[in-house]
Amino acid sequence: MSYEFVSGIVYSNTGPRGRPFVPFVFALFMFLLLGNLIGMVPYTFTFTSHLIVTGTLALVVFVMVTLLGLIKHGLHFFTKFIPKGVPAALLPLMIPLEIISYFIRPISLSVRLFANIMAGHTMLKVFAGFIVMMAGGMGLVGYLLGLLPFALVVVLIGFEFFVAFIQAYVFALLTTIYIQDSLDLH
Amino acid sequence: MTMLLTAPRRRRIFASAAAAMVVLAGGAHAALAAEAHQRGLPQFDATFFLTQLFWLALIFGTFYILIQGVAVPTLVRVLETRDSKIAFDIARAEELRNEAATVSAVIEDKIVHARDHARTILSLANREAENVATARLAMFDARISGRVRDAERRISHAREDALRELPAQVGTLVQEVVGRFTPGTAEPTLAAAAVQAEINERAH
Repeated sequence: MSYEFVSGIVYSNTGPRGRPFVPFVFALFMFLLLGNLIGMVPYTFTFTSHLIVTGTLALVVFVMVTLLGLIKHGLHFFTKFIPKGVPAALLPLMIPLEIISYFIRPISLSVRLFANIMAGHTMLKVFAGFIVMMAGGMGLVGYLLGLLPFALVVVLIGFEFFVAFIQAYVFALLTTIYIQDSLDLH
Repeated sequence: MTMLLTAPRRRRIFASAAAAMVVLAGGAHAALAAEAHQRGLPQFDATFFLTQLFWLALIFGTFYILIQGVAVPTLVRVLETRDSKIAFDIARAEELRNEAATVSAVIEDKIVHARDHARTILSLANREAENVATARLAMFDARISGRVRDAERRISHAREDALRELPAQVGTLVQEVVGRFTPGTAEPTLAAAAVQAEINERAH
């Protein structure tokens, strides 16, 4: 079922050419999803909230996509940075922009996942701290007031599950799009 | 084109993974050598970079190899078996439906023919019965009309006889009556002639 989900993503973006890449995208998606979901269990360690981990994975994807483009298209690969239908006068502006937006891909990919997961867990910890502070410090009133951050923590946990799925999906989707970009627009 | 990309692509992935690891490991080592252990965000604490990279490489590599070698072929095989079975079932259902359609058409045909046949037989039988009935009716009719004619003839004969004898009878009667009530006698022939004249008059 999840395999069909991932292969659906790959085939709808790349078409039948994407067949060799389905295992990799599938492995990536399942790895990140498992990582995110493991982190939702109390007292576990969320490895996807470490920049090293997500950075490495993003770098792997980036280097793979670049090598793919270079090997497939040769030096013609660098025409990717010249967008279509741009008047020649704007090219000195457009080309650096394109290059920058290309090289920022690994950074954006890794930081997106890392920041989402880390921020979610940090918020959970902060609000959990509030519960303890309120319930412990202020007596009976604190006990009752402590229900507010408790409710918030429950809501946040639900939200974190949602974010876990979404972020893994987005990572896999963007990987597929970059692969497609590399295969095609050169 | 896809075949062209499989093996080189795998090599490419591992190459890129190795390159990334080397880059980051170099960075981590530099950071480690340069800074002391710091009490900041553990995500950025360089002490653990190398270990994290090692375990990441190990686990993701194993995961990927497992998926590439085992999971994907199994899943592809299962999905294809499922699809082919469904297609086969649909084709078979189509086949059977067509067969059923032809058989039912034949049956319909036969029913229509049988009904026609029954109708013709019925009409023939009706006509037969009609004929027989008319024949018998005619026979009875003839018999009865014969009898009626005989009876009428007898009646007319009797009537004529009666009329013929009426004058004589009346004469005798008159004579009797007169003889009883009067001392004289009457002529029977006179009364008979009068009655006869009356009968003749009435007959014309």
